Amino acid sequence: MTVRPSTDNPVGQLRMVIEERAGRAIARQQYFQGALRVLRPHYLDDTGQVSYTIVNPGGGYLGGDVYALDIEVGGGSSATMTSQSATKVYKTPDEPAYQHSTFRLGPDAVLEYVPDQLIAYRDAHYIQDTVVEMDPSASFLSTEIVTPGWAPDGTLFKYDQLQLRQEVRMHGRPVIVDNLIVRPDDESAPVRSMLFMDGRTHLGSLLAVDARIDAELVAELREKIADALEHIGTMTPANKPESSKPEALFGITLVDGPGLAVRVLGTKTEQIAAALYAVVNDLRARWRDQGPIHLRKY
Amino acid sequence: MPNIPTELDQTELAGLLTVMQLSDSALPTGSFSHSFGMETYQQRGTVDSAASYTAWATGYLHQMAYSEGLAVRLTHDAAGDDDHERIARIDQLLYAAAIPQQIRDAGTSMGQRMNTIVEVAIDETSALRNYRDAIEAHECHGHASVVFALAAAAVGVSVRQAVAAYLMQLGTALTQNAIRSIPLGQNAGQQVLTDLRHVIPEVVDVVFDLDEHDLGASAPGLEIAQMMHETQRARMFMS
Repeated sequence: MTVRPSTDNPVGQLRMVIEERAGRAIARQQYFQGALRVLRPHYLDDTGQVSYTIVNPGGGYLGGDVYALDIEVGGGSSATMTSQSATKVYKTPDEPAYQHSTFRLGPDAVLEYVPDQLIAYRDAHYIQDTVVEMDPSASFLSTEIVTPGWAPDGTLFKYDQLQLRQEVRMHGRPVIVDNLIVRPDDESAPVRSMLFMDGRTHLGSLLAVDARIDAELVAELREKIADALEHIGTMTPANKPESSKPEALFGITLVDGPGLAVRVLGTKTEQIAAALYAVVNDLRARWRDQGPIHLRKY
Repeated sequence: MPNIPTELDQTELAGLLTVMQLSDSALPTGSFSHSFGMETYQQRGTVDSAASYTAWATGYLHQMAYSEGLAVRLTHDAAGDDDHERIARIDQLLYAAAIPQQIRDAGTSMGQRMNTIVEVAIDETSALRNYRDAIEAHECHGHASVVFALAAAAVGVSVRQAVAAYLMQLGTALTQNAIRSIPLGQNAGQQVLTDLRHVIPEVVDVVFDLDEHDLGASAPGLEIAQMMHETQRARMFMS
């Protein structure tokens, strides 16, 4: 058991209240301190969706660091939150690094939380708790990409453990609890590996909660992910040593939000990103007639 | 030679017998039709023998510390305080945290069957009655681990024994399914079960090291296998 650190004195803190004004969403209130801040908003299409980029000027998370985010997206407004760069979690010898986020979505609000990958270094222990309080008419989506850091000798670091917990509540009741424990494979414990990374090194996870999600959509997206992974696979020349790496594995399922959850295990960030953004971009086009999400290319 | 404990009194004996009845692999909860993802590994060829099954089931039981094992412990604690709200919250979290659809459906269907069995088998307590009413009113979903813990608390079985018995029951049911589906010989099956029995005390220790934040935490490889089972062709099991 890891007792959750207090969020009273965070190393970095960010609070935003986003509302719609004259057809465009904008932060009506914004407060940040310490090792978290946000860049000025962008509007990447004509839907009025605001796009904010979170910056961690500290450069990385260390043991005992606590980060606290509280983002409210008011009724009818739409926001995308991304990050400027990967979140790096370094060695945490005593206490884990901890991030607590609260997202509040009003009626018909849209929030896409699509941060860059989390890179875990040797002996890193990280806990991320996210609470989503949403109106049933709102639309929420989040992604996570977890990759191990590279050691100077070119091998991948063995981080200790990551726990990524996301609790979605509607009317105060827990509806979906997406609670993942991630441990790198351990050659001395192949059993565990089969249940954890199954021979792969990189993890992707996506959760979408929206009243329009049903079994038919899940089946369509299953095909889209398979296509995206196949496409990425064929882009790797067959003579590269990477072709000996295991294929990516993925699963998608309907959750009772309604919503859907995706897990991907692979060996490259590009692979995971291709699988997850196939879903993100499909949903953006399907529901809001929006183009692909604007992200840095890997 | 371990010390032989003092004899059980009538109440303790009644508790032991109740747990034996509810842990029987023949208990009609429908567990014979669920592999909880094992069938995906079988289809991939990674679970195909007594040794590989034992390895997989050991990992699986360790994973169950976070979900059903922890649910038994938390429910047993709440039953001691007759705290229906906490019991209802455990039920909701357990359902909400079962991300793969087949695991969620299996949990609910086996929970409702367990609820019916316990209604027949155990003298009602207010905690059992409140949970049953909440299931009927669709405020709770029903989960076998919650019903089992309420039944164990009702007959005075300690929380550690309840968690251990529940995990053993999971291991037995799964092994019966492995014996049929891999298949394994009956003797090999008993050897596997003996190995798993030795794993359970470690898993019980894990259960007592967790808290509500951990409830339903899962491992990505296992979840993917459980999700992939939804589209697996030629299935023997419903999960």
